This record gives sequence, C-alpha cells and structure tokens, in this order.
Amino acid sequence: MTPLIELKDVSFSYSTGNGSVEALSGLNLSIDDGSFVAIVGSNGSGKSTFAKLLNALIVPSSGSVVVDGLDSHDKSNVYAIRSKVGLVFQNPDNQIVSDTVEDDIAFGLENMGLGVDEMKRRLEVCLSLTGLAALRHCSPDMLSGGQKQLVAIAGILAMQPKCVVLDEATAMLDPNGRRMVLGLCHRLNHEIGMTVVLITHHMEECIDADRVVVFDKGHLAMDGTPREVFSNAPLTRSLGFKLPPVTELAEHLISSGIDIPHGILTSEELCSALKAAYAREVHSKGVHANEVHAKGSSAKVVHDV
Amino acid sequence: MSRNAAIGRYYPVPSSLHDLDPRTKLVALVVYLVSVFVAQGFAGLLLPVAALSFLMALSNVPVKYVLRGLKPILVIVVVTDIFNIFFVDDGLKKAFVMTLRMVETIWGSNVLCLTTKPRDVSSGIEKGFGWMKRLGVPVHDFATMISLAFRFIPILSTEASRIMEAQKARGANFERGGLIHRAKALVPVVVPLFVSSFKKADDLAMAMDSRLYGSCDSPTRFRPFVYGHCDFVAYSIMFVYVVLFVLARVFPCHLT
Ligand SMILES: Nc1ncnc2c1ncn2[C@@H]1O[C@H](COP(=O)(O)OP(=O)(O)O)[C@@H](O)[C@H]1O
Ligand SMILES: [Mg+2]
Repeated sequence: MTPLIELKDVSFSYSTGNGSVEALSGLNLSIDDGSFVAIVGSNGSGKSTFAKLLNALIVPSSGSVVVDGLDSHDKSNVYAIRSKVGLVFQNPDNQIVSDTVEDDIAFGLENMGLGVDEMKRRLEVCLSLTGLAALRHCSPDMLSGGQKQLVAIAGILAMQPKCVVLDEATAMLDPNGRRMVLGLCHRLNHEIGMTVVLITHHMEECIDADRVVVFDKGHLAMDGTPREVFSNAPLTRSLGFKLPPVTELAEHLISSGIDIPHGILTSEELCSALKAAYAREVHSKGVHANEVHAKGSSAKVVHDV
Repeated sequence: MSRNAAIGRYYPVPSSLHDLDPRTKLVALVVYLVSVFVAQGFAGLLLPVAALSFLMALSNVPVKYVLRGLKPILVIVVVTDIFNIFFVDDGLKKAFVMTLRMVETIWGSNVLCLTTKPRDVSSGIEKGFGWMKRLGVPVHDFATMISLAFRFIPILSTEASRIMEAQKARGANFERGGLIHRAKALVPVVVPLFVSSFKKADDLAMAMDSRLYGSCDSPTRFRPFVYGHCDFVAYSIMFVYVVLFVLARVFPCHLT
C-alpha cells in the first residue's frame, strides 16, 4: 500500500508565557492509504498535537508533514490538505455550527463554494452513509452525544476527504454512542476505503484496527498490529495504559500458570486458547479425573466472564 | 433549557410567517422599528401594536411564549416609568409613550426571532449588507458570528445551570441574602463559565478552520434565497402599513 500521510523528523513546540513546551519530538511515521490506525498514549503525550499536524491546523517546528504529496509547510497547500484530512474533536457541542443536521453537514461545502445541486447530491450520500436520514431536519440540541458525533463525521465526509482523524471523539459518549461512532468508522474503512486515524483511551476500540501506535511524552513508543502491541504487557503497563479487558484477563491467567499465548484480544480467542491448553494438559499428563473436573469448571467460569 | 433562554429562541411551527424569506422579514422589522420611533399621536403609537397582533396571529406561536420574551425588559420599564412619573413634567404621558415604545421594540424583534432560524437571520443580514463587502467590511464573518452566538446561547445557559448545581452541592446559596451577597455568590459561577466559553470558542475556531472556513472568497449557500409570492404579499402589506402610518403622522390626533 502507498503512504497517504508521511511525517519525517517532526518536532513541534508550543510557545507559552515562560519558554516553550515540546509536544512532539523527532517523530517518523507514515500512514497507508486505506488503513485503520489507532493511536493511544497517556494524557499530554502529544496525540492532539499529532492530529492537528495531519490537518495543517499547525505546521511542524521542524521536519515535514506530507499529505497525499502536499507539504503542509507550503501555505498554498493548507486548504487542499484540510479537504483531504478531516478532523473530529472530542466535545460534540463545540464543533456543530448550524441549527439543523442538514445545514451543519453543508457547512464545509458552503465554505468550499460549491453549487446547490452538488451540495444536495453530496448531502444525500452522507446521510445514507451515516444513517442520519431520519434526523436531517432535527436541531443538534435534540440529538444524543453519539448522534452529534455522527453529524460531525458526516460534515467531514461531505468534503470527500481521504482520511478521517478522530481525536478522542468517543471520550464523552456513552457505550451506545461509542458503538455507533466506532461502527461507522469501520464501515467507512471497509466500504469506501476511507483511511481512519482513531485516537482513543479505550483499548478495546483498538482491537479491530490494522495498526496500533503508542505515544509517550512526544515520542513514538510502540508501533505494530494490535496483537504485537498488546502481547508486550510489561512495556504497555510501564507506558501507563491498561490492556484491553480480555487481554488483561489472559495475562493474569498466564501469570497464574495457565499455558496460553500472549496477546489474546477477543473472548473467542481466549476460549479456544483455554480449550487447547486444557486438551494439552489432559493429553500429556493423564491427570486424575477430579483434577480435570476442577480445571474444567474454572475454565468455564473464565469463559462466562 | 429553551425555557430560560426564551429571547432569540426559534419556535418551529408551520406558518406563513415562518415561510417568508428572511430578507422580507428583516426589511419588515426595519420598517416597523422606524415606525415605532418616529410615531407621534395616538394612532401612530397604536398602529404598530395592531400590526404586531396581526403578525402574531399569523405566526402560530403561542401568545404566552411571545409575551415571555418581554420579561427581561420588565425591570427597565418599571424603573423608567417610576422615574418619569415622579420626576418629569407631564410624566404620566411620557411614561406611557416610553413604555409602549420599549415594549413594541422588543416584542417586534421577538416575533422575528421566534419565526426565523438564527442562521437565516444572519444570512439575511449578510445579504442585506453585502454591498459593504466592497468597502472591506467582513460582512460574512459578522453574520457567522451572530448565528454562532445564537447557537451557543442555549449551550452556555445549560452549562451555567450545571455549574450552579455543582456549586449548590458544595453549599453555595443563590437564593438567599441581599443583592451584594447574591452577586458574590455568582462569582464562582461566572469564572468557570468564562473559562469554559474560551475553551469552547477555541475548539469551535479549530473545527471551523478544519472545515475550510474562509478558504473561498465567495462561499455559497445551501439554502439560497428565493422570493415566493408570499413575499410579494408581505411587501404589499408593508406598503399599506407605511401609507397608513404616514397618514397618521400627517393627521395626528394628539393624546391631550
Ligand atoms: N495550546 C497549548 N499551549 C501550550 N502547551 C500545550 C498546548 N496544547 C498542548 N500543550 C502541551 O503539549 C503537550 C501535548 O499535548 P497534547 O497534544 O494535547 O496531548 P494529548 O492529546 O495526548 O493529551 C502537553 O504537555 C500539553 O501540556
Ligand atoms: Mg488530546
């Protein structure tokens, strides 16, 4: 796959009253076209700074960000980059500008100066992609948090970007809202090949990503498939974030002596790993019947969890 | 939420007034306000009231809701009335005229806000003042500012009541005590409200930038303005109103 976004030796410092704060330093990263990348890291590790760099809201203090061949240092590229990379923010109320769903989706298109027919055509496509058709005339005040984020995503989709970046867009949502937003991201990724960069604190949201990137104090700390990243439990813990619940449970089981592999991500995987471990044990040791029974039932409890 | 922010709240019901082009309604408001301020004599002062009653009947907005919008000026009206009645020559008459003018002004603006989406109000203004763009006035930005202000009124008022609840839970009391005590009790509400509005403004600016705000010299409109025949009827009514008004001005029947 070809890279859509390339960051080379990117550093960024915020200037504050007393000196400057280096938010990112020496970052090298490229994001493939059509991939689903999850970004995690503790507070202040530079995730939002990274998101703003992708969208040319800020330009690197040193190094370069190139989006689809366009360097963000070049001022004439800024608007083209913003139309290629859409940004969804954390607080749904702070990014909706209009007083109906339709008008809000059209906001970006009005800014681009498109004609009414083209706006209407794109609006219909976005409404059906996001499933918001029934709410098109609603005021944003009447929507749930999850629905508001869908509106924000729809407003970005209308601009026909190549990539959507969600900066903790699920952080203020209830589980149902999170499911809606995440489901839409995966659908867009599969159905129209949209590149998705998902910044999140919820590890279970990373499991289905193609790639997980971990930030730590402005540096890239880990980078790999979800399995690669989450099988290194000691390192992830030292970086200060929790594993996905199922992985956490599996790690506990491993440390209490059960023979299953590291980096288990889903409950299905855990189930079959436990079954395999159990079968191996029965087969190799020929254990007593009552012991087998005890182990079998503990495995069952684990499954129910 | 919409209750405590009745001023400037759009009231979505179907009506011929809602369907009018915002430009028509803005022109009507200007005509109306001018008439209120140059009115003289009994007929001149009552004509706007008659016009408004007619418009309210057309708007399908409950009378109660429209009148609630007058509450905020009640204090000002009462204070100026007392001042006029006791300290000014011929105060009773002046107080009456003043009260009527203030009520008519706010009432009229309310009818416009209740029947027109904030974004339409601002786009109407943008269109109306479009010629000023050539003088370098950022008309589009002003119009956007106005519509955003409208959108954030309910959001900030929700935020304010949320902060007040939080302070109440910590023992703050906003209902008891004298004026100074109450004003002091509001400080821990106003400060966090300011902080959160700045944060909101910052986020909003970023969200607008990333949605290409300002990228194009001539942004288009999703809902272009088109005059329907209702608008022509409205302009005709305005014409009749102006004629009646001029007549009332030329042949005044004075109050005294
Ligand atoms: N506007 C700003 N001014 C000064 N410092 C900032 C600003 N925004 C972020 N920072 C600092 O930059 C670092 C990275 O912040 P950020 O990118 O927001 O991290 P994250 O999104 O991962 O929490 C933090 O140390 C933060 O304090
Ligand atoms: Mg952040």
